[in-house]
Amino acid sequence: MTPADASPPVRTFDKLQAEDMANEVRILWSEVGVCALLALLVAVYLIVA
Amino acid sequence: MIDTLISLCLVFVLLGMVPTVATFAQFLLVGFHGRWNHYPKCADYTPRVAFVLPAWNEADVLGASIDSLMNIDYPAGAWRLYIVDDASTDNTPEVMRAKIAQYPGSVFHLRREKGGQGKAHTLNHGIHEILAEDWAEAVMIMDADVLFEPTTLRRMARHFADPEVGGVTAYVKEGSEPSSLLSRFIAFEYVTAQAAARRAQNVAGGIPCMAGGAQLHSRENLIAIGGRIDTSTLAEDTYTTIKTQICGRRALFDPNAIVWAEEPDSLTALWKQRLRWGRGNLQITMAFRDLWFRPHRSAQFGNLAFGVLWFSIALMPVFMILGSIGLVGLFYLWPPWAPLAFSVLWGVSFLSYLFQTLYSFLIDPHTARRAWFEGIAFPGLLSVGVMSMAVLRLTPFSGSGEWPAPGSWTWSEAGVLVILAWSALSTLAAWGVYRLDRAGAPKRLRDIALVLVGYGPLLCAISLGAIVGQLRSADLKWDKTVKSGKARLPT
Repeated sequence: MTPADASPPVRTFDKLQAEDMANEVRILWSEVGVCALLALLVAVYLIVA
Repeated sequence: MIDTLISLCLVFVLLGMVPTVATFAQFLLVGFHGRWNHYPKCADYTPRVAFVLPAWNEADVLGASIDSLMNIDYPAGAWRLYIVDDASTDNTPEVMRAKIAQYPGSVFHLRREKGGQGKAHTLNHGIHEILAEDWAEAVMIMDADVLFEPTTLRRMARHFADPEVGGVTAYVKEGSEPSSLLSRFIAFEYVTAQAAARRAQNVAGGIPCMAGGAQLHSRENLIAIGGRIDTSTLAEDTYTTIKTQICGRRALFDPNAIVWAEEPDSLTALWKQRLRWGRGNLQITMAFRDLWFRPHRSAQFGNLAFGVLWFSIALMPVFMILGSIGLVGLFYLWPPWAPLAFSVLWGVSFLSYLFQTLYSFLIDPHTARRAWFEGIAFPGLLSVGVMSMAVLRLTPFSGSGEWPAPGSWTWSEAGVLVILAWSALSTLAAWGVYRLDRAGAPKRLRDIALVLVGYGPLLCAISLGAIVGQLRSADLKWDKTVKSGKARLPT
């Protein structure tokens, strides 16, 4: 198999690539958010305890 | 002597934390998939794909599965479906004939005259026919009940633009409609075990299992791994995945390529299915025993992190039981340390639970909307209670605020022992819920028990059953999971 056998439509491919990469970036930032939230909770817990 | 026993108990407590820490660490890798993924190496590439669909008495699900393929967004004439009828005794042949007439030129019928040997044998019949011709550039191994979203094949095939890639798998989602408590537990489990774990495995550079329900191989890879699916284990998909990577090609998970499947709707059927998976994975552990913890033999599977993760999952009940023994032992041998050890073990579990649950909801919001309660109740509400006690330093069954003295033979002491041993006891309780289901208990009662005891402990109990079965060399045979055609593509 070679990429030379590629076939259209290019628009569908580009759209899927854009959607999927955006989703992966969203998940990355979601992790940052969850980590920040839990770090805050742990800090509060340690201070209170 | 006592010091040695105390040290042993502490080691057991630490071992009890291994599965939690290992899966937590794996979860922490998930987000990196946003930076380190295979998408930049993809191209608009649509090789000729032969789907091979093994069917043994699949009349209830086959039609919908074939219909879903007819709606895929892929160049006309660039894919074919080969249905391998494994000597079905229901009206699978009639369904096939009707579909062949409905979709001429796209659907091909292969039949084994002697069936019942299992999926791998059936697949091999189809793969042999497909590789005998030059037409197929890639082969999609699938299950008879799997429904493809229109863009799934295109999303998977684009990775083959990179010649280093030998196989790609999709995200298999639970799609039963109407859903049940059990199907929603499974839906949430697949977020953690597939959408999350396999992203992390992509980042780490090696995945142990491409889901057998949607496993796309390049022709070159299929030939390189022997031109056939291994039939020596019950986990043929895992074997094929590891073999792909040992032979030098990459195996990838595309989390945005989605297929839908129907999963078991009773604990009895789930137990049977997962026992097969569990024993299959133990067979894989033995089949590739030369790889584990030997990085010079396999960069992906021989490294320490992968080995710890693999064994912590395969032997999870053993770790859980050791953790419980360690806590109970400390309570009797060195009481002042027991509350601290309990708080650390269950506190880490609580942190991991919070992180994994919240993050899983964000990874797959669609499933989260459907199965949010099952996500919260995944470890069991009783286990959530035990975690809360550990974190909040509660002292149940004791009015004084102190733990009861060991050897006092009071109800307080018995209560504390149950809590300390809960990770092992929950496995036992989960086995009890399974027996309840098997005995034909009302579904409502079973569901209440399952929510209290938890789906996670149930999986742990099944793993224990697999270990015991494997150690006893209990009879091994392929048991097909019965599907009734409840899976639906989302509209």
